[in-house]
Amino acid sequence: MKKANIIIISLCLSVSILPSVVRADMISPGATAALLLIIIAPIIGIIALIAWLVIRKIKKNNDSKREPKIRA
Amino acid sequence: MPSDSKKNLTVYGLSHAAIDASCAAVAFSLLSSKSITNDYFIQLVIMYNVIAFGSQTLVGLLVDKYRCPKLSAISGSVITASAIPVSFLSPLYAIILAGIGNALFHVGGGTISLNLTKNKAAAPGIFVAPGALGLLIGTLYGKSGSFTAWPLLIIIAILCALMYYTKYPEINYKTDEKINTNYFESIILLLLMTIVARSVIGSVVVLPWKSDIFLLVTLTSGIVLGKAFGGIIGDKYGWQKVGVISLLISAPLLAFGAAIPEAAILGIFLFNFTMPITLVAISNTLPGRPGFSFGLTTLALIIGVLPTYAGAGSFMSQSHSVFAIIISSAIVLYYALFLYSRKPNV
Repeated sequence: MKKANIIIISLCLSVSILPSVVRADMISPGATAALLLIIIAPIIGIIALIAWLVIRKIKKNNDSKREPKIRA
Repeated sequence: MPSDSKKNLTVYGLSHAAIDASCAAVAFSLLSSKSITNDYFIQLVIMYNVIAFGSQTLVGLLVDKYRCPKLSAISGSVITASAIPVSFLSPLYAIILAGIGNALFHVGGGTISLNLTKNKAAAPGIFVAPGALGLLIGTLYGKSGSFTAWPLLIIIAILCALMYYTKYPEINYKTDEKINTNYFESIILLLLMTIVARSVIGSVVVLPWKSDIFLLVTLTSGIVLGKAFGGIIGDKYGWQKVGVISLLISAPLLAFGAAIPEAAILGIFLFNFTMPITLVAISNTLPGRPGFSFGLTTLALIIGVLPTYAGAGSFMSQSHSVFAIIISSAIVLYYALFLYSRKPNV
């Protein structure tokens, strides 16, 4: 796996997990935003990951179009 | 700018203000009517932000695939309008509808604005700018205690009709244009990082004088004019020069002058210059995908507010943190636009 992919996946995971960890102490009956963060941060992380995969695909498609054709 | 483009900008810019005003009015009317608790209000606002900003990347992919920006903008407006009467029945459903409608409208309108002045930042800046004004009007209207559905419903209906009858420009969906393959991901990542930084600053800077209505209106005008002029001035004198210099000047003004209205308003005005520049630079890096490009920028915006939601806002709002974030953002923007301006490999 390319270094860039590893960095992005790590970033996405951080975005997903960090807020939950930071606010974990808040999770108790009556906690408001903290509970929501447990749900929303992973969603944002997943969307960021999808966006990154789309960007990678665009790059890959563009690269393959530019490969020189071998003529018989 | 051709007259058709001006017409489109007027219609979609006004619609942008109306949609953002409606969303803010719905949210704040729920709070002022005491139909929900303060805690529940915070939950709903976070949920709204995630739906409205987080989903635009996915909505953008769909709008690009089916090539339907006008349908997206009009349906978004209708869904947002439907949130207004629903807010009297169910706060949760109203917020969900407002979020979905807002996302659809922004992607549709954003796609059209990105194609009004090809590869230039002026039109998208003018399209995005009225949003801040709409938010202010909607917030004041929602909080006023005299919130009623019909004025906003009539305005949105008229704007929907105008959007329907306004011929939008040809949208560039050609995905086979040359891209800067050497630095492709780096350019996008660095540009998104500057947007994240802008969002962080927008959510953490404390302006203690904001309760004064005159100063609040002036501040909002600074945001609106900053976004609008950022694109125009950037196109004229160069994105890199204008974007980086404006950030560097805004850093001390926002970091150390936040308590002084004049300094902070000037800082906010300059700070917003980069908004259209980063948006169009991303869109130009991803040719033929205007909806996805627009969505990426809003995804970066929501990532930027996550630290505040997570409780890190108080640390980041300190003067030295604000200064460091803006200066870092200027350096990152400089490098991103430096890579962007290098010619693509053939």
